[in-house]
Amino acid sequence: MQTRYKMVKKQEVLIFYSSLTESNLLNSYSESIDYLRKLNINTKVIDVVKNRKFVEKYDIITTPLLIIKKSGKIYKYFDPIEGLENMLTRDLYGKGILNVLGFKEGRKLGRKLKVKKQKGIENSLNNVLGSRGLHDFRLVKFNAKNNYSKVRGISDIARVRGKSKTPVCFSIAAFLGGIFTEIFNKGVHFKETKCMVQGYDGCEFETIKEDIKKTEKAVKKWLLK
Amino acid sequence: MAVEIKKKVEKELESLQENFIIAVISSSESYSALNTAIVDYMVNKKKMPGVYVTMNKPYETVINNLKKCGIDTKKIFFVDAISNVIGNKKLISENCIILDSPSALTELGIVISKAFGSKKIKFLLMDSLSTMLVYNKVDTTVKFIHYLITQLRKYKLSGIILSLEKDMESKTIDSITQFCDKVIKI
Repeated sequence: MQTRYKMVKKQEVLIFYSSLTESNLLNSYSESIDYLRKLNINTKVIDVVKNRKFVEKYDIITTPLLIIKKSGKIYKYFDPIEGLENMLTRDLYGKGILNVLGFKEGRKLGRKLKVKKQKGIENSLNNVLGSRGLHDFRLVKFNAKNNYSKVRGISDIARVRGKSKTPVCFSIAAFLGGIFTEIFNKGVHFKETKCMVQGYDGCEFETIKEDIKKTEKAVKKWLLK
Repeated sequence: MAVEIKKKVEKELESLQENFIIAVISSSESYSALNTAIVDYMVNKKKMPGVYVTMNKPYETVINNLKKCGIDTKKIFFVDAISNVIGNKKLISENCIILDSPSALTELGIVISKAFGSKKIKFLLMDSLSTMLVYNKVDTTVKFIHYLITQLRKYKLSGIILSLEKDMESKTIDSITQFCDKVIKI
């Protein structure tokens, strides 16, 4: 535990944004910024319009951009969520925040989609999901009436991880949930049912169905306590 | 800051009639302290058992935070809408139900109506409306909150609906808070 704390202390996070074009960015990231600060990670939010000195120092050419400094070494991420990925998966609360961020981003993207049919959705998402770390996207099953979908793809997250018994791409699942919430016009969530870290040749995600019977059973059990 | 917020919360809640239904809108800086202060008031001071619905923090995180602040968590029944989607279904506790997702509002509705009808609880805390709006469409959320408040009034229970100010459009706040007795901004 002590070693982990020392490791956390050495890190520094710089988030660059433009108040002219991304005025809402701080709202989107405020929970993750609070979380990093609680972990004693030195976190700075820099408006490139007002802080030219930092822009020159870190050679910033585009925003939003997230820089992580670990023991003086600089890692740049042009997608802040991608950069936050490692830091927010430290514990369950961090994962919860990452889930909200991914879902919000997914909804933003989903609102821009003009297509509503399976082939059109597949083609459109194949073009944009690559930058979010999901390649070779396939819409395996799609039923708008039942708000059901099954998708497949090659995930960057799984590709760089070692083997694991459990799936690891939950942030992609959150992103997909946001996109399909806009497509179905109803809140939906995805669960990764197969992951490359488990030895599969691709990752598979499926919409979660509400299990009302299970919930009723659990409430009954609690009431009898 | 936490002491100041605690005083403010106590003052506001003391001024309300029995079985109040309120919306509490807060900045992200005050949110955590505010949340704890409300639960502390309801559970420790008023000795009320209640339901805590969490939409973004897993049960484990919430219960640890509350325990650290000396809150009697045995009096609280937790409904955790987030753990399943972040892959933490293993954790099953006697006083917590894990929903399939934060959009599983039918499930949440069932839990609420059964828990309210049991007469085992006296209040409900919803954490939070702003997260519910991230995961659900506005009209679905408005309908659900309306249902929730109707149930609270039917069973003569208190209800506290928390929300982060930054995520809320004023139109949305108005359409939801019209059902509440009071809107408190801290």
